[in-house]
Amino acid sequence: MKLAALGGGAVYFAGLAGCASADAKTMAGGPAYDDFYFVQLSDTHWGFSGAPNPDAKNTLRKAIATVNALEKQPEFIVFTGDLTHTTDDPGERRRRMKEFKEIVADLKVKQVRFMPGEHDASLDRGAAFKEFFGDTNYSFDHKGVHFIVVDNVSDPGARIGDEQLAWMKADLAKRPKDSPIVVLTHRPLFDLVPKWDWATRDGAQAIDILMPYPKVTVFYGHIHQEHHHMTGHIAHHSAKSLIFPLPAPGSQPNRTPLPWDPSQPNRGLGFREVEAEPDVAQYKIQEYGVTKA
Amino acid sequence: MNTFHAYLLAVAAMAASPLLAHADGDPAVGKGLYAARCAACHSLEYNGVGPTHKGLIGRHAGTAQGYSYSEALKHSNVVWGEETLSRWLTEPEKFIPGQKMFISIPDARERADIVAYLLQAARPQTAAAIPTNPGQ
Repeated sequence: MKLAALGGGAVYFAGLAGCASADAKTMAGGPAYDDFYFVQLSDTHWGFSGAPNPDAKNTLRKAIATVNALEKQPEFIVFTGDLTHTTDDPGERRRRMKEFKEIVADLKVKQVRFMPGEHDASLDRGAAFKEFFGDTNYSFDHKGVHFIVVDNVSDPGARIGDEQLAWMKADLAKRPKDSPIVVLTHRPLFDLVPKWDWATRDGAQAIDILMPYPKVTVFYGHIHQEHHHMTGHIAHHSAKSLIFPLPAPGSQPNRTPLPWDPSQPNRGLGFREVEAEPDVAQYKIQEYGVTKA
Repeated sequence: MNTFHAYLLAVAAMAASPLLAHADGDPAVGKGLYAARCAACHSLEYNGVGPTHKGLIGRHAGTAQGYSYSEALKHSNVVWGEETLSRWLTEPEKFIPGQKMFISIPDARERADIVAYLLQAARPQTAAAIPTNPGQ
């Protein structure tokens, strides 16, 4: 053990030397492709109040300030669902959406993409969401990457549905097979913990549609923690929430929020910045806390 | 002695007392975190998207048999142990520029938990498997 650990100390020097040579390489030419950054925020649950987050009124605003202060500003920002906390009062739902929209207007980056979570959309099949934020599924392109937003929440049965699956298939058919594709969605497309509603009933059909494309990556939310999973060559990355963390998949009988720790407020909460390298379809993920550490 | 040398000495001193250094990591928590954050690409049994962690502790970086490494890892001369794993997980690209792992564990406690788990679960298979440190 000692020998190995001492080797580690010495090796740190090699790491520093490597830094210097990397700088030299960047100065010599820089990448021939156009990399870009985007930020993923998720599960802000505006309107939630309760012991799991006594600071719920401020968490979102703090996170926005942190995003605005990022050294590398993203070219756009995505919110992967559960913008608001569920309420069965349609008036209250709209009030929460209006407030949420006003708060996120403080983001310096103005290109912001929204999608619903089941808290926003499953009680009215996305009606209120559409009034405030537009379509619940759509696609867009950014510097060679094709982004597809998949709605697996407006159907209260946690399905994408045949109509949307057909749209997905047709949307993808227009792309060359080797296009870099990013899917943005709320629930996991694979069966993470079905009894906790951590699955999409017809997610396997979506994965089948994506499978012929060699460069597909999925970013999602819903499970309030960072998680990485592969289905074949397709990587699935879930983001932390900005309200309360949930337990590790299947680690306890019930999916109850992890308690707020006053000695470490905001522990387990955060957002991520993704550096997209379109030519190699690589996505480098950097996780951030609610406030700058 | 300049500050940098003092720092290296401090690193070496910390590395020399492994019991003290990883006392705060919880391997049981680390096991769950490993499943959620690492296991998509890594396994304790075989190479996947990332190299296997079988016998990781004490292994030279870039040497798992059958795995296709970046040039950066192959030439890094890093030996995996508590200190190096923690630095690597903090920000891989800063530690070994040119590497290809795109996930990091910025939370210090989570990092300590994962490293504590690896120190148990990815021990060298036999005592003879701990490499010496050639070329230093």
